[in-house]
Amino acid sequence: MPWYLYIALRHLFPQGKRFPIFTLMSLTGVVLGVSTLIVVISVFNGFGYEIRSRIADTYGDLRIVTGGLLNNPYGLSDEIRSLESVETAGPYAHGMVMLLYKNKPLAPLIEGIDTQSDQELQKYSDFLIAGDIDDLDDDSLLISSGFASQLSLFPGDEVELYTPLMMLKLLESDGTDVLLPRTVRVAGIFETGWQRVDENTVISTLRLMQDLYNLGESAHGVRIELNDGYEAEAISRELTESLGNPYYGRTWMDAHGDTLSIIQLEKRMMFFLLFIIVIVASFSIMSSLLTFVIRKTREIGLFAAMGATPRQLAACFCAQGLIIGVAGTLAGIGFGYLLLYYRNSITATISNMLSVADSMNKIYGFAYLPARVEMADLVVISALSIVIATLAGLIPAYKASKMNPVEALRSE
Amino acid sequence: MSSPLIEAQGLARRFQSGDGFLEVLKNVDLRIETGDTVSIQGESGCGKSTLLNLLAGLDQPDAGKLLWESSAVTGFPNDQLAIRRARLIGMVFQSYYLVPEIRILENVMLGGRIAGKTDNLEERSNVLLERVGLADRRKSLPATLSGGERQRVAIARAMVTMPKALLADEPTGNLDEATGDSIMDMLQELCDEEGIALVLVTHNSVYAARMSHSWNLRQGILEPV
Ligand SMILES: Nc1ncnc2c1ncn2[C@@H]1O[C@H](COP(=O)(O)OP(=O)(O)OP(=O)(O)O)[C@@H](O)[C@H]1O
Ligand SMILES: [Mg+2]
Repeated sequence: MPWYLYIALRHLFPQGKRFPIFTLMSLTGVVLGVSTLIVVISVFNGFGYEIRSRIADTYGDLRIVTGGLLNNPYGLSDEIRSLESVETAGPYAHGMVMLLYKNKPLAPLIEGIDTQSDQELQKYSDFLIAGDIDDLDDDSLLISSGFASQLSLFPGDEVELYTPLMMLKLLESDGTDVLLPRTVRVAGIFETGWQRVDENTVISTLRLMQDLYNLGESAHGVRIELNDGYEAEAISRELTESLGNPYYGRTWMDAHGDTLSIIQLEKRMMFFLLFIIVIVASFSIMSSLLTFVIRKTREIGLFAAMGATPRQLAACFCAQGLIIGVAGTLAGIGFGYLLLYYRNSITATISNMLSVADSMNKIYGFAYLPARVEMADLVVISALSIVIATLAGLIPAYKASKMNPVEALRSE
Repeated sequence: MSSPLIEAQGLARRFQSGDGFLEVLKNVDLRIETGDTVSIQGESGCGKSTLLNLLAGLDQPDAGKLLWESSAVTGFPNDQLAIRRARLIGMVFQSYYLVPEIRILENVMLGGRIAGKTDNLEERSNVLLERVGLADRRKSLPATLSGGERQRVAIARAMVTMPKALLADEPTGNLDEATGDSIMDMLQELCDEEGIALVLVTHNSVYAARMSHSWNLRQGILEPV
């Protein structure tokens, strides 16, 4: 190790002595900045990831639609399923119904799912909190948890469905027709964890949707799940091209991208706001190092007398910024991971103290705090904090290198 | 006649003082050869330290020339000067300037590290610490040493680079007489053994008389005692 790095280390961590307060304070600043950045950015990633995976669970990675109806949905599904990158594909139909229970009306979104696909059934079976997936037939519905609690619905209850088609008929007949609702049974109650879906969705078989919407054998599109969800964009373009008009692909990003881009934007804003902590920490490093250089004036003069070059003297003090940057960043990453590991107990304690436990679920749509550390963020955060801390050492280093050795030795 | 290690030719140095200049050194000629021992005496403020700093290349003269091993170094850029100085010259000051954050052995080794003389550095440092009688304190911190002990460490640190000349600026100035005597004995012995030229700035005429050449700095000029 070159002597100036050795001295830099020893200035920060003296032999046989207590940790100097300067080192401690400077390190603390960097540690706080880095760990806060990591925690907050990872939670944003977590939200993004959770929302993405929930969208993918309910929407699928990708859907093939036409302007209108899809006439041979099962044929097209089989064709798509034979592609290598596709995990599964099946037809769906969706729309809106009015649901009446004990004279209380609500208008949920309805999606008719492909009951020939075991995967699709298994997924909703996993989401079920009451009832049984095997009870889902062409005269029954799965009801989302929020929806069920609004109407106090339980499996086995019967509800009445009205479709827009029925209303249309009623209008066309000038009110002479009698409106006959379709009575269906609640087969189960599900919860995906994504508020948007849990609040206002019911699931039926594709057959029931085809009946309700008078679709015959048609469907609204094909729902596709990919082996790698991140390829959705590319495969969507491929399929749009290979299937040709009138088919085109619509990814989950196209459909729900707004939610994600808001999270992305917030993540970026938080990054800049929190990075200010690191910058403030670097100012404290700089001012401490400046006073340190002045205190060490005679030592610097001595080093010069012993043959140290101005560049080495500069390196010695610049390295102290670098060392604090590296050590603080490493400790900050460790501390950040620790906070993330205990995040749920921490948030539980805080929300209990503030008694806001429920509102978090309501506002964010998650019962717990999701988090996901991404390598790219770690690299950016680490690199930037180390660079900033090193920059903080530059001015003190310059000052040290410009010292006149004779005057430095003469100084009291 | 061998070529001189350090040669000053007509060195002059003045400092700004109020409106005018203070001409500290006017015309100093000095030759220091291998193994020489030289003393420089003079009243306080006459410019002894200024001269020593010029000889060490730490300061630039306003006129005259400085040669190290027969090549002119006046006006050299600082970093080249630093590298050549580390090879040629060791310095000891009235204050000891030990680095407080590191142990005694590391302080001695630091001299070699800065000068880039790292072969057997630890071994040589230990030998020198033994020579100055501080082998058992090598793990101590500078703050726990007495003034005389610290100066011994500073001398070991200057010697560990195996310089050809040692410039000592009142090395006993902060010490009581007995301690000063023992430091002087040790310094002279070490320089003698290693064949190092010693330039000693001192107020003590007894120490000065022990050198092979004795000079008096008066009104900017060196006069033989
Ligand atoms: N950088 C400077 N600026 C102005 N004056 C200076 C400077 N350096 C030295 N002097 C002056 O030059 C003169 C010689 O100083 P120097 O330190 O060389 O004296 P000295 O002979 O070593 O004295 P002492 O025996 O007390 O150490 C003094 O009058 C001092 O005030
Ligand atoms: Mg002096």
